Amino acid sequence: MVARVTMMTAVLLTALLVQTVVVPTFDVLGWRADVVTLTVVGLALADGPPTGIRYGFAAGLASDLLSGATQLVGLSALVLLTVGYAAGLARRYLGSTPLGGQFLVAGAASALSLGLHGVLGILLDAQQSSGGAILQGMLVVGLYNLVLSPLVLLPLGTLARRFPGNPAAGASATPSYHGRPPRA
Amino acid sequence: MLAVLVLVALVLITVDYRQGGSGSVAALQRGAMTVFGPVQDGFATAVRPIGGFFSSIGQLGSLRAENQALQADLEELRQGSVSVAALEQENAELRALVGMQQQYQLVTTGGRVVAQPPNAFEWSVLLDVGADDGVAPGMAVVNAGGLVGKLTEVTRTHSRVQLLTSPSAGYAVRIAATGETGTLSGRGARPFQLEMSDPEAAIPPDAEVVTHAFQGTEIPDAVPVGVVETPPEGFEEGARFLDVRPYVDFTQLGVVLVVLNGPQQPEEFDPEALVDDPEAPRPPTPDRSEAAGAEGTG
Repeated sequence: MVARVTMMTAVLLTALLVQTVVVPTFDVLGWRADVVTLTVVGLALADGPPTGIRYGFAAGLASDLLSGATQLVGLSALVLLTVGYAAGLARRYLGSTPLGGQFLVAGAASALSLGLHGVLGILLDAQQSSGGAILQGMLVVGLYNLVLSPLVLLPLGTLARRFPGNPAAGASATPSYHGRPPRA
Repeated sequence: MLAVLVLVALVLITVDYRQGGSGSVAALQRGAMTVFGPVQDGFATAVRPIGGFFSSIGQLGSLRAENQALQADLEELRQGSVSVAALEQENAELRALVGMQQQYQLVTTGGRVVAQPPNAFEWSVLLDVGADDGVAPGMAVVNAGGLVGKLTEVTRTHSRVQLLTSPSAGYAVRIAATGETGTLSGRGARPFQLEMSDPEAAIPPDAEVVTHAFQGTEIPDAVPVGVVETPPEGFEEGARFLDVRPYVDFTQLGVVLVVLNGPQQPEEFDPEALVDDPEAPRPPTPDRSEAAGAEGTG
């Protein structure tokens, strides 16, 4: 179990580094691919909703803390745990469909992630984006992430199989990712 | 589990929203920047040649087509040509920066853009200069094109620049040709929005927008910002909001300059000095001396 948490921490750190340092070089119409969301979707699709929620929360919180002071801390955490939950639920319906379905889920989840973030940001007065800009961003980032999704989802699937969780024991046996002891 | 984490997220949002930039959550953010900044810095140094590699791929392709026999040599030279291309590009960028610095007589320190924030609605970049290099929050950041933004958070070794594209901040600017003032705010990837103080003011076609020294900020005067985009059908009568196309390419920031000697606006503004000596030396801007004169007589 320790190995699994270490694996996810490593995945998250790598994703954050790639997202902040490498991805900005390759923007499309000013929008950047969202590697962090892709890792959330990847792990949620491999493991199901509980992992999606926890990893999504941790990834979102880390993103918030690495953003500037104008970013509301907790906003990305809320968005990404929702995305992780949704992607985890989608796994049930993908069952036997070919891999392409996963990539479509990843693209849709990325668009959802950006849309949620934009709309919540407006509602909480954290940023002033227009609805048109958010729609454009959802389209661009959704397609961009759809193209990139095999690069992230396939290795993550392999990793998740290499470090399996304990689905039988359910949520209670899986420690959260802040190094706290499991909730008994 | 879901409910607990949602609750935690909501509590965090509320706390951060109420405390603003001075609270414990913001301090947590600064802590994360202190810890993760050097990691991002190291990673950026490691992957920088990759960008140069991709930019030189076009050249490699044409060389192959010209002469297949050179391929073996090319393989050997690839590593060298990559770094040379990157160095040449950096050289040109630095030369332009030196020109910018001399033109406006700014005392600056150079910083390299290390990382950008992980989410899409945050317009800021991380620089590899910090308090140890003499920078402080509020200082202006420029590059060869013009104004880039201002520093918001500074740790000992790194600092964060809020870009001009960020909708969270407004900047005092003026039309260089006429001196008409206005407020500029970013709109993400779209052109800036310029709100003129005087909506009736005539705007010449392709007017240049420059910064306007303003009390309480450390943005130097007359740093170029961009060009007013003239609609093909001409300006609407009394249009309050104008689009401004920035000079700076915010997606391609490499090395920037932090202005150390911006106007130090006195907190303890001496009112007597204003009344007795309205002609005290000020930045030589037409509208500013008018304002001082008006205050002196009134």
